[in-house]
Amino acid sequence: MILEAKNIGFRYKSSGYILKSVDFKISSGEIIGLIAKSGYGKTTFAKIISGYLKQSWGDVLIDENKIPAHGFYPVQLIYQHPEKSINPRWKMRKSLCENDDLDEELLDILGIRKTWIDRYPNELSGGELQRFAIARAISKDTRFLIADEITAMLDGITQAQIWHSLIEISKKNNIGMIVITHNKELVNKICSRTVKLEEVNNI
Amino acid sequence: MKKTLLEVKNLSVSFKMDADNKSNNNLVINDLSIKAYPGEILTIVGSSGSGKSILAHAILGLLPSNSIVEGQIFYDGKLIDENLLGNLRGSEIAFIPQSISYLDPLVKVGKQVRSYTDKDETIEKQRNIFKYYDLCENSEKLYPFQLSGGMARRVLISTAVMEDPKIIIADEPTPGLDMESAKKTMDYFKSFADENKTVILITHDIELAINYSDKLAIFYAGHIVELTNASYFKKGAKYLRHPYTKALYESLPSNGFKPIEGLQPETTSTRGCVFKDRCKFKQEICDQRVKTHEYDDEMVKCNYDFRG
Amino acid sequence: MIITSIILIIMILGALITDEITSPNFSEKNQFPSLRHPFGTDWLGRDMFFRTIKGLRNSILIGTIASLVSSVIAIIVGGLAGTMPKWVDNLVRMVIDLVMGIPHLIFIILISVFVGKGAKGIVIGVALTHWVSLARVIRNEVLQVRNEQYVLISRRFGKSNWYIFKNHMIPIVLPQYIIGLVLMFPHAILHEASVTFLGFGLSPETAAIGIILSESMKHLISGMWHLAFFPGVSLVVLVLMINKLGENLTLILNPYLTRE
Repeated sequence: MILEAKNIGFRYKSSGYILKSVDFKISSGEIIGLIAKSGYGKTTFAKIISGYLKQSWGDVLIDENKIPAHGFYPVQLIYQHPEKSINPRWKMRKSLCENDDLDEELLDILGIRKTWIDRYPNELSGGELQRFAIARAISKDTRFLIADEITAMLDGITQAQIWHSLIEISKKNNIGMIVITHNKELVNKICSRTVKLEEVNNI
Repeated sequence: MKKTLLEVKNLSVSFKMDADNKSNNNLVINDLSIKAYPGEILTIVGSSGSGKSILAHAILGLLPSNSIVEGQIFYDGKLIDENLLGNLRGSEIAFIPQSISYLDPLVKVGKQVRSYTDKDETIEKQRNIFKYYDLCENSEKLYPFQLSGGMARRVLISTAVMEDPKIIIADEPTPGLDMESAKKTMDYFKSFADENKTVILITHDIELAINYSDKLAIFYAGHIVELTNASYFKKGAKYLRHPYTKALYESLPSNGFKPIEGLQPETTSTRGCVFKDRCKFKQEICDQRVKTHEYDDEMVKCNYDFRG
Repeated sequence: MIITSIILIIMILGALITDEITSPNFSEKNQFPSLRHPFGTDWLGRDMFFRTIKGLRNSILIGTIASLVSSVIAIIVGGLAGTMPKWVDNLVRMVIDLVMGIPHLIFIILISVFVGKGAKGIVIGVALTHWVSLARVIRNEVLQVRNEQYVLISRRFGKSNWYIFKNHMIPIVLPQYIIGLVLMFPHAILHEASVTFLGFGLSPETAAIGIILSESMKHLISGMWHLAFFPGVSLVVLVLMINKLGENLTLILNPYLTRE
């Protein structure tokens, strides 16, 4: 399966181009790094291919087909701050099962403890919440994951644990991953190739 | 023997979770002692949620009302009480918080940095500081929400240095910044320390901090398990004394990206060593007690010393 | 809780007080407060205590109905403004600014004259003026929730508008609604009393606090202070109690609100 961003362009009505004629391709099972300097437009691009933002021009295609606007979006975006991604009034179980029933194996891979499932978000740490955010996004219909600085706020060991889990999930479910980060060492370690947004952006 | 500027002795911080039930108190910082010297950058690293921010808030007296604090804090040799703290905070001990949510969203930043005064000297000082931190003249007229991540950081730093403090405590100053802006922030801290002042940096981004720090304090589950010279962390895992510090070193992408199993314990008041459940060197004695070895500038809380 | 029980007692008592108890009894007219008549009697010999209770009951009834109607208007308007396209929101905000600019009392009087006086007029008048601040609160809450990251994420999971409304919005909007509703009562009740006092509300035969107070004005000169004092103070106490109820509710619902 191939996710393709074809000739993507984006601008706000009042400002200049943020993205222009950007082409990007990723296959299932690939792990690709996406880097650029702060504020350049990586998150904008990520939001376009994960369906949060409508591009001004161009298409986002999976195997040459447009992605349906309704239903579970096969490209899931995971944010840097899990506290904002999870409804603070819901118990973790409800958030976790928003898409699929509990998958014990998935929880094991991500290191999610049973005792956390019936807690509220404010009782868990950032690292623990991020694991839930990831677990929630992995459903049987997830084909691609975009990780936008997901471990930037976490310490070295938690970061290593989460990425190792993600790599295992990527292989097991044949999910393609786009890794957005400022951490060059991280990209070198886990990505098969890296795309510099400045190089594919034609503004 | 250098004189300490800030010294924390046997600090314990817990939070009352339940008005009536004392056993429900949540112990977050457990018998912590540390010293900070002028001219030095002391970096406190540890997993997120381990209580590092709470340590900063405890030193500054900014803990919420349901906190129970034990221990003593000394500034320049004097024991700090409520009165002294009120005088020191903001003037001699400055705080750079994590986010701009500490700023008033309805007031232009220039005014806030000047603490709402409009005296000529204050305005000039603010403008000079903005210039020093590469903030253009117009930025003083902006509101907090209009600042980019990097600009927000610099505004927060400016606010802190306005009163010529002797100590800066910075809580996670670099997340969200790209390499260039992050390095620049660290450069500002370095130049501040070079004026014989103290910077206490709290962060989980060791890879960045390590190139600027003098001392490294490793924070785990409410304890400082190791205090070492930052240079040792750069040299390699075998120079580090505590198993957790070693694991932290080896988990970094540039050093092998090896995680260890398990998570930080939820309670910091365990018997024996707080790291015992994840330690590959664990012995029976670690269940009972843990020794503190103190050296000149270094310390490790472990029944052994694994350097070398 | 204490306050709710007091209010309930007033309601029940008020319903039980028959016209007989409050009927004129010329042998006992113009009496000052005593053990037999704790609030005294008026120039017709009617017992002021029972009249006051009955009056309070009527005020509570009218206040409740008016507030409920008002709150429904507020939910609809606030909900629409928060969920429909921008032009609806802009229209709503213009209407809100417009209504806010009109002094309530005058507006209510105009409406009740237009609709025909009496209870119907007051209820409609109060309902049409008091929905405004609650509508604003609801609109703001709805807008805020709509833009929360976790709601946007729910949409990417394919969740329907109904799912989002039921699971994300209601838990936040409902407590605000309840608190807003309870806090509306005092305003409604006071406005009802004022409008009735001015002669535009309920008919003079009904035992309403406004009527009681307006009639007592004529007799103050003759020294019958108790005709105004007790009903007036009771009204104030009632309003204060309801306000406190609202505050307590806020406290109770707040831990639920602030799970962040």
